[in-house]
Amino acid sequence: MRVAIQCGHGIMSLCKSLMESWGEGTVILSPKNIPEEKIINFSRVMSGLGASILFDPQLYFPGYKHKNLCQYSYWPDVYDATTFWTSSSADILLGKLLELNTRIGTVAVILPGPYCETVDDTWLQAQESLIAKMRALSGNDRSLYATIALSTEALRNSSQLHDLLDDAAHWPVDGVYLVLQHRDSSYLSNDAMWVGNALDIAASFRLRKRRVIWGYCNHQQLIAACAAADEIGIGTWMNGRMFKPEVFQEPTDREGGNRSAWFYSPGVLSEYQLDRLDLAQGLGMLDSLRMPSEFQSPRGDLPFAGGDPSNSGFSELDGFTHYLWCMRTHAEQAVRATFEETAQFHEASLNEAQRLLAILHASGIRSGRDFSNAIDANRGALALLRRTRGPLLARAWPTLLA
Amino acid sequence: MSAPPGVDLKWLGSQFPTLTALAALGHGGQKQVLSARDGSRGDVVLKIFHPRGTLERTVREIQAAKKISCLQVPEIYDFGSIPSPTGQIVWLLERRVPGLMVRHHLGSGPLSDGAIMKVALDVLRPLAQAERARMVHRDVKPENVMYDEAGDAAYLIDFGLVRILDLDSLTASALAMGPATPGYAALEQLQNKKRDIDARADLFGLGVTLYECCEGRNPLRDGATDIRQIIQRTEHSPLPRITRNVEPSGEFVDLVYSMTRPRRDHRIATIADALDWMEDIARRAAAGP
Repeated sequence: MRVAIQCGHGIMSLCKSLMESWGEGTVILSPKNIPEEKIINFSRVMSGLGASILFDPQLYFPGYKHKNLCQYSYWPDVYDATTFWTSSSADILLGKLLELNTRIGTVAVILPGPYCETVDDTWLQAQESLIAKMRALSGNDRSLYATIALSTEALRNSSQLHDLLDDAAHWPVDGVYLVLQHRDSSYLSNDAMWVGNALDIAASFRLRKRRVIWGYCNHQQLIAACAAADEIGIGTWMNGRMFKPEVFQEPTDREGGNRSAWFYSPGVLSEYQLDRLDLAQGLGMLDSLRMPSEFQSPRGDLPFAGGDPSNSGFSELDGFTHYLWCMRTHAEQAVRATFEETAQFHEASLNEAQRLLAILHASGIRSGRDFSNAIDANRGALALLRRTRGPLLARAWPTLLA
Repeated sequence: MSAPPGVDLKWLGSQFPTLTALAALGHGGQKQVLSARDGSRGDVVLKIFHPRGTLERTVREIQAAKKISCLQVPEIYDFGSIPSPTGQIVWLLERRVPGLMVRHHLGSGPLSDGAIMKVALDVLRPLAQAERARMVHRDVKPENVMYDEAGDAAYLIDFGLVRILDLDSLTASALAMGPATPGYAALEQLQNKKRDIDARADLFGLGVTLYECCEGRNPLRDGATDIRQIIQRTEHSPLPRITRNVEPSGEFVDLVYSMTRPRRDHRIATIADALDWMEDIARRAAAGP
């Protein structure tokens, strides 16, 4: 599994620097954050650095007039969810989107994915129609990814989920781009069914030999490796690490979110503001939060150079850079030779994080982005995945990795 | 042997002079099944479809069996229609496969490891052919699988409920339950979700049959007081993993588990995939440790 950079607010220079270091990787462009006139040039620069480019059209709410999104040439003037995707207006939109993808030089076309509150016939027909139209427009040589943007309620409803999977089995696409609303707008989910059903979708498509990219993820979704997902899209700010439908309806006042530096500690799968690291330093426990050497994040050792971490010069941008470096290493490590080894590796990571967090908690070192509540959710989700698809994943694993 | 209800045996004998030793094997709602000896062909089965039965369904059974050229399905020798005292009847003459119904074998307890592996392989083969021909048997169960201990071979019989996916369904969509045997039929069959019925329904039926061959019991049926309870179990109480290893790798347990999930998306995607898996298991078992 690989990490794709989920572009968001003010990420262009960070993207450039990461690609200069990595020399390869996927970048998912965000029209909400980059104007159309700049996106071609940006993608050229990224491609020149070895990036594979994808463009998320962010047509989750085509009826809304988000001030940045509606500047894009493909955005519809008028939208009716029940009729639009079967109408000639859809052909026009899809034609413009395809042309934009060509100009950007994307490696695959991410299709529009109207947000699904409930999986019903209207939504399924819209998906089928827009996929068929784009397939007709693009021909068979172009790689197409269907976007599946689901509400929490739809994702947690097993009946709706299976209606979706049964229908989607026949979609003529090469892959899917999953966009899943987090429950209660929680950054880290404590809901095993939410995580488990997301894995179920990913595994279903992978077992059907379709590629899977799960967008708007954070480190909790590293578990997607157990479902053999190909890539997870991870951003810098919260809006790039979790799917919040409202940010695609109206621009938020502070697109960038709360400004402060967070340090990600891979061993505990948790993020800490620097004052918490100061406390760990004072208690002689800072080393337990140190990044293992294989993570190689160039700014990751800064808070451990001696003195108070909050005076180390570790900035908000350093926090983002460090986080994405760590995700890249995590993702590379996450996939093992067999399904069982992959699942056991994930479980071992959870166990170790839980052990270390208990020690830290006992000394009052806690964080607003502490992974404790997510541990059981991931354990439960993995148990569900093993139960429903474990033998099939075990059997197919060598071909899924090929 | 007394004559089955329907067409009289003596009268039948007069209509099929090459057949001797006519005897009833069984009968269902729409047909009688008889064994007989044919002078040139040996042991045969004569099926008589009642005049009140659906002619279309009879034709489909014949079409289905003829499309599958496989030793594990009885070869159809001949068929036709004749006037009878109770009206026009359709008849079908096919090879009588050796052995006994798996249901009969189960009367003595679980089957041997070797027999279970053979049943799995020999029934998956014709089902894979049916899948390629876009047909669903829809009634795989111990009564419709024969196992011949002496020849170590299994056979799939009775395509009477076959669904040919490219043809219109013969079952009314409004019916709450489609044609099926509860306890072996997949959930989508029981719920008559015709759009959802494909070869994976047969994987379910065979999976339950294999489970029963291993454990000697069918938890979907055992102790159920009515059909509703069986349907509820099929939906909400998936079969547990088999507790017995019939081959050294343990993958047979995984295979049957993956055939019997209530949601078809959780099952093995195709019968071809299941057959491929089963052949791998059999090959490894034959190669030894």
